Amino acid sequence: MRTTARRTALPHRTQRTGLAVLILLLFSPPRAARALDVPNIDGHMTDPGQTLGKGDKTAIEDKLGKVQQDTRVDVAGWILDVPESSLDKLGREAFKRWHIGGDWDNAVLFVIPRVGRAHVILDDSKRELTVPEVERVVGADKPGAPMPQRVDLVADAAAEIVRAKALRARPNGVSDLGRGRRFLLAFAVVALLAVGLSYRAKRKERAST
Amino acid sequence: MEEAPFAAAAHTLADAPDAKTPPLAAPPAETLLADTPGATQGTTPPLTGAAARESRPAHWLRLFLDRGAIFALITVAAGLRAFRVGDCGGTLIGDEVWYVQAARVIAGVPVLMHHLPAEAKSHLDPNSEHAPLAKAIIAAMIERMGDREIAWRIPSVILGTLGVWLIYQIAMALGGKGAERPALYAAFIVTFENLFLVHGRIATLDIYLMTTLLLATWVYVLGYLEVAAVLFAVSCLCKANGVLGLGAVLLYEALMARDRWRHPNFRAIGRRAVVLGIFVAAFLLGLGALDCFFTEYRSPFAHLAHMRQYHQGFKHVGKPSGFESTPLDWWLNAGAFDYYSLWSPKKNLLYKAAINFYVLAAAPLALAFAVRKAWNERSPLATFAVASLFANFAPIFVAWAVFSRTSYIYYMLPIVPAFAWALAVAAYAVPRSMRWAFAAMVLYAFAFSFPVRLF
Repeated sequence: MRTTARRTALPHRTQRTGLAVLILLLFSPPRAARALDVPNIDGHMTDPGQTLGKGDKTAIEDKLGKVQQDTRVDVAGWILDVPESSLDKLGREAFKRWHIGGDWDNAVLFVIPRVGRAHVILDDSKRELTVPEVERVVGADKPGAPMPQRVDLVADAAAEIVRAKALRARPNGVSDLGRGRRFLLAFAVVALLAVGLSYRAKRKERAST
Repeated sequence: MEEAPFAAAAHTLADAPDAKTPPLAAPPAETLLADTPGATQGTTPPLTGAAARESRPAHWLRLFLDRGAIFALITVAAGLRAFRVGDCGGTLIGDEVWYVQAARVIAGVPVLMHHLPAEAKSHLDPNSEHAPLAKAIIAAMIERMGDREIAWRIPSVILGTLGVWLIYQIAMALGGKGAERPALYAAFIVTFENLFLVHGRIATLDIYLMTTLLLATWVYVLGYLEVAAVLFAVSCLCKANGVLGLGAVLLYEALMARDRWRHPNFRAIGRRAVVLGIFVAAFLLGLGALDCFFTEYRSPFAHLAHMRQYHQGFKHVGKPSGFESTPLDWWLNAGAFDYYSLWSPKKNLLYKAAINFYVLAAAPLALAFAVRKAWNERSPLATFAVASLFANFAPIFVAWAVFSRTSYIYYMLPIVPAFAWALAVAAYAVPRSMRWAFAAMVLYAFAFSFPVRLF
């Protein structure tokens, strides 16, 4: 009885294992898709490989935080170790997943590969940078330089453009120069009177001593 | 004959060993301060005898050699305040985020909408809780030199350096003969005191307030009371706390004349009333002019009402949060915070809102000694240090304790000169070795706080 049961159970077990393998195969992402794995966001500058030292990371965080505060544009970066050809795809995925600029007016994400030139990812519905501006940011990158320097160069170029765009003169206010001059004249009279009184008192004082 | 109300001051000063005036031959009350033995010590001595025969360059050379130490100190103070003052990559430090932004709007240059009200308009001051004079000066610098750090901060560097010189001059004027060294010591302390130094390197209102206050005080102790009243008004046009400086000199006079209160000299009191009148008139007219040029207010009273409303609402009940601190915390440097810091492999910058800790640690003892010296010996410098401390600290303390006014450690800035004078008085009552040791400690603390530590 036990033997029969074992015999009859074997095919069932094989079937179940096969089914499980099939399900796993069906739901496991293909190799290319697995490359889209995006790490958790780590501040303004995500650097999962820790290519930046602690001081560099703090400095770039401060810098990008300041840009965000000043311009309401979220400028963020990501250092990764993938071929340059897959940067755009990964960058777009990270832009979406990290919700870049979601709470701000707009956003710019620069992705810097260890080998190759940086790419810039923008929100297509409201592009913060024009094509020449993107080229300027990408052009600022020096792929042969140490990573902290590259990050600085790209961040500075992006920040400069974003800041310049956010700068606007306020509409003109109205002053009353005529009335102001009258007040100023009266102030000058009081000041002259004060000088006169002080010198008179001083003269008296000298005379008495 | 009517007795002078402030004759006590003259009496005490005349009692000093160097005084030439007989003790009871008090000068007219209104000129007491100017006639003190040291009242003109800080000014250029008149040319007499051999000196009169000197050529002008020789005279200036002699003057330079006579005053070499203070010239050297001023040069160091200017150098420290100017050193890499434009080296923060355009970052606004501390309250520059309010005042430089306001100055940019006044100058009409393009500006980021950061720390600005939505209704800010070009050529008008958006920061109407303070009078516009200091911001208008910063705006003028931006118009002249462009929107860059040097333009915002150069006036602060000049005013900070001038402040050191004025602290020396006030000590000279009050200290009488032999005041040169204590005056130098006071100037030395503020040259290397962190809060005074940092405010001499950033474009905030406090250094404008501080230096105009010191200038007004110096002019007052030289005896030009009415001119000083106008200068006190000018300091209020930078920041309203300027009125506390006027309170300090009046309190000083009252303390110096404390045993003559029963026999008031109405002529002298009348002159002080005129001084107060000039102060009020100059302040209202100056504010009226600035308002018409730089704000939408057309009457100084409307602006004052707004300022009062703003400052009444600027309160925090409960434990201080963020950068806030209580006036009691300041005596322990407990409310210290970084205005700006940047640590990177390339440069290290630190602008800290904190008082030099040795100065702060020694200040209560020095002030206690100054109180004793003021009470027993009627030392003008010690009395003024005490009056300045009380007039500048007590109102802020009351505002915090009674009205829960929000306060920050940098409100101590106008009190730093009082520390310096009290420390100078105390330092010259202790053995020389202790004096030098304390000077070394001040330098040691300065080395920790200097805004650009490593290069």
